[in-house]
Amino acid sequence: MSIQTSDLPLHDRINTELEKPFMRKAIANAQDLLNQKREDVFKELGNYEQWKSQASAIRHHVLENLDYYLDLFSSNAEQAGAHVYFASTDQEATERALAICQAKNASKVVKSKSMVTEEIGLNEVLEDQGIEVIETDLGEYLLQIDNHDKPSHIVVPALHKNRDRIQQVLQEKRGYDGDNLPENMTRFVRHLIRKDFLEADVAITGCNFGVAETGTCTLVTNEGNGRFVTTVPKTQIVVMGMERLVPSFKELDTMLSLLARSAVGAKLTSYMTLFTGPKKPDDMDGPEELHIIIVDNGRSKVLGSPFKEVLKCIRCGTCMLECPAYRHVCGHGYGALYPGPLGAALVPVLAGYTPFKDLTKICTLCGACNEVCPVQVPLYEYIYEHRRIIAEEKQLEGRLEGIAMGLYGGIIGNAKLYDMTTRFASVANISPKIGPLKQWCKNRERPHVATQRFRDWYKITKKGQK
Amino acid sequence: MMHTNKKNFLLTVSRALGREAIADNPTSIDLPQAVQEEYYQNTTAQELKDLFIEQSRTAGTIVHECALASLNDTILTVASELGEGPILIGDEPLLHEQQTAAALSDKYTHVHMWDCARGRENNIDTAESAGIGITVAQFALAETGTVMVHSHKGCGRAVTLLPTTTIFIIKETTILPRLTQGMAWLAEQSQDGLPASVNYISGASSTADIELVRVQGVHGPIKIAYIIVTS
Repeated sequence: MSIQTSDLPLHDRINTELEKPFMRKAIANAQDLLNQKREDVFKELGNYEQWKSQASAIRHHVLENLDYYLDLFSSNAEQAGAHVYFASTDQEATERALAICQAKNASKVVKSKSMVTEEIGLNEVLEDQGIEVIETDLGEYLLQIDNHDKPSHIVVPALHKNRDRIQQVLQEKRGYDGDNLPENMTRFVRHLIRKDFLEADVAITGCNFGVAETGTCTLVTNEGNGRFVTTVPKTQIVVMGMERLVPSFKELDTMLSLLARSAVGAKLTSYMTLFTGPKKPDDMDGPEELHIIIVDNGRSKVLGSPFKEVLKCIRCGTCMLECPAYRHVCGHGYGALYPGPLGAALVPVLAGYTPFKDLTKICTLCGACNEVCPVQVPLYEYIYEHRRIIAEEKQLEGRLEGIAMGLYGGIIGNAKLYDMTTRFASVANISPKIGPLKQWCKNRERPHVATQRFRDWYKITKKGQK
Repeated sequence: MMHTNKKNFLLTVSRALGREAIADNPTSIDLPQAVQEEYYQNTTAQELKDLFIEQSRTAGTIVHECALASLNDTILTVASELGEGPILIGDEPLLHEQQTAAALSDKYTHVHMWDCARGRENNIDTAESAGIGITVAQFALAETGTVMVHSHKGCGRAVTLLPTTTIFIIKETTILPRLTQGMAWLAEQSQDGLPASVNYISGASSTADIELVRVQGVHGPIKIAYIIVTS
């Protein structure tokens, strides 16, 4: 997978999603349930605004000093025995990971959930070279065996699939013969993947946070796959986006205190795994070799842009859970790996306006995302600014809008024209079935223009009173 | 001497930040009040323990308390309630002192201890075939019902991961308020070198990936029990 996940045009993509009743109900339920849990867990914690401003200040500080902290992190990780590589592009990153796998003659790789490896299309590169890649997060695994279906949410990726579909896929692809109870299907997958864990030559993981002061990487999981991949395989590759650092454990406390609470409304996840270098000589398990690939892939461009604060994001997915547009079209509607308000704010600057100009349209600019973002990314201001750039600077919206606005300007700037057109404006009350307003009028009524203008009514009424 | 690739990478970052060289020092970090310091300041040890038990049980963890003298009996009771052997024990001073392995051997045919003399494969195989893993937590965190374990010679990562059930022994005096104290421990430890792997565990392995239905036991243990040893 890469950042672009669909070739369909915006309206086709959205119409396809709108016709999936299960998905829409599932996303709505997830939003309601997880938002309530998040509200409860933050209420219990207290000091919500202080926590958020603290987390935001930490992430801002890291970005302001990113060159320094990357240097510090990589030096300390190397000191602890890890091999650290810097990849400017997705290609450099995948080539490096492939070279490590090939040096180990790896035929099987187990992966724990990682957005950045999806972003750089790592699975495809390894699979092209005949290496079997197994996603070990249950949701990701279910997507992978269902013909590489795409995630609909960054934290709960298979949210759009119902239990019957999952049962069917497990039956067809893995010979499952049980019922559709989540517990039984989970147990079945547990046994399958455990075998893979024990056989795999190489493990590939992401990194939620790197601790610069010590070169430590952090993995936050509930399922335990983050622990497995750091326990059994002899070689581990960590792929991390270059912005995912904190200065020290003190700041890590703040970030971890907010991550699970924001993502799933839990105080902590079942597991937080912190690893520093490969295993020690006395350790009888854990990776003998630890490789860390730090990826830029457009992030430095974001850092040098007016949108750099979007790099504060900790990938909790809260903005998606709060978003009214996401509620209807889920992750798939966006056609990008990073969906929701985060995707609309990040992707155009990370991967280019031309292919992703429509992404910013899946937003009502209501600002709900800003209220809940634990690191205070100004999401909707960024989305609005992207729209301005797309229309004004890049002129990617075609000439129609410009012509319409020019016409409007001409009319309101000329008294005679204004008088004439407002006199007949009510003609436009016929709801358009074609043209640019068709989509807009599909689910809403256009404001009705009165058949008589106020000034005409006033004139007549006043005359009658005399 | 910095590797060229690294240097170029970092310089691109520096330039994006408007400077021509990699910063020698970070700017001062302007943090608003560190709110976490304010939590649990006047909480007693008993209150922390009560909170720890409450939080652990909410997460589905089974919690027992016992005096040191009855530790082995409690382990036996919990083990027989939760699972079947073989049993794998971390080579921990407390379990040595209490001769836990010998006590368990009376009931279970296969009781193994993590043994660095037996090599990587043997230890992992033993953990994989074990029904119950037992070890001592370094400390616990009350706010989240969390225990912390780290890899070391006497106890590998697999002991608390591969067996179907894990039993953690927690000394009452090691129950700390929250993650803040957990991270302070790591900061302190980093002066002398950190363990390669540190795990904060807050309940059994779980998922909600199918229709958001919570299922306990995905890749890690299906059941977790804490035994708090009172002083």
